[in-house]
Amino acid sequence: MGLLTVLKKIKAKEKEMRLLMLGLDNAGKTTILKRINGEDISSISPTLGFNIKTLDHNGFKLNIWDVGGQKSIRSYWRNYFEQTDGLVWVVDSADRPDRLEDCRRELAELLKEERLAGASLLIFANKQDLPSALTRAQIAELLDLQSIKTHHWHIEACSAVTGDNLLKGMDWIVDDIAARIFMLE
Amino acid sequence: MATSNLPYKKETPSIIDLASEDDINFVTHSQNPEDEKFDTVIGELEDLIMDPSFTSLQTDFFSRTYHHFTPDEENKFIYTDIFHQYVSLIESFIEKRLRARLPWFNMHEWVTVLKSRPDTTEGDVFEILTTLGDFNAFKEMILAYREEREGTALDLSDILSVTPSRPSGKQGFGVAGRKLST
Repeated sequence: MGLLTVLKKIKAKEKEMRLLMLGLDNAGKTTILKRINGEDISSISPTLGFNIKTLDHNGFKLNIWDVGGQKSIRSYWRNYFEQTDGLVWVVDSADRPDRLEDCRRELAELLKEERLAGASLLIFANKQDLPSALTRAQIAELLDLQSIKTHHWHIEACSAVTGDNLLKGMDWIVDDIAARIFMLE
Repeated sequence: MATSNLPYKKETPSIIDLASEDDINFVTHSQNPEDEKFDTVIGELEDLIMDPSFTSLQTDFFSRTYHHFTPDEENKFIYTDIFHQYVSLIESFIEKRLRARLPWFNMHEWVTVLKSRPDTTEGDVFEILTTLGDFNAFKEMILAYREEREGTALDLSDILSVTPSRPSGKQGFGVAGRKLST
């Protein structure tokens, strides 16, 4: 690791957290990001690259990276794994069964990734405002979350449109990361 | 939570970080020559970041790459590649320069010292170097360069959707169709 990277890490220690937000296309990643940042969410286009937001939360500076989820660009995700403290996996709870199967598979692949090995995992079962949305328990089962033993994980049913439970989810992941950093001090 | 056996990231504190401040017997040399060397490196870095050759290194890089950048909030994947090239360029410039000035200098060792003594990274020179390694700061700088070079009064490039050809890009997506309302 080079000088600049090392310095950045030293400076960020304990005050900053890097969160990586991934998930299939149209899961609502950018909408969640803008929503928690208090921005207008009425005209969001599919993300073809990535967005970064920096916001303060419970005394921590969160750097949230939201990377586009279309199938053709998922190979770029790996370029953003480095130094990730928390992974936020966003799910469209009203998605088709075959897409939810894709969703399970993509998540399982990510969790094998060495550079994400220490990251806390928050799953947002998004779009709960839609009538056809599956429940938190159904999403947890479809994604086979019980089998995850390698990461601290937590699932939150939320809606980026209403804002329900977004902060609850963020609180969990920030607390989980903070507990880890504190423990290693 | 606190009893987990998770495989924590590689960059989590090593034994060195865990040592208390007065338990520094892992420093093999006596303190004073080490401190002196450390201060000499800082002095060189302070000179370096004010040096016209360093500034022109940055400007040359910006002039070659700025055309990829737009003020859109959303970032293109190519920005990440360009940013990594930039960081490597700056790092290798710093290393070459320090080795030319200080024959005993070893970047790997020095970085190890920094990691073991994070409290020594206070001060302007470290602030500047940290900013150089920050993606958002880099994007701001390169956009400022672009504004200066092209003028900001009327940015026709966005209106006309003129996209630079990107033969090396793996993906075919361009600017067209991704007008974000900002």
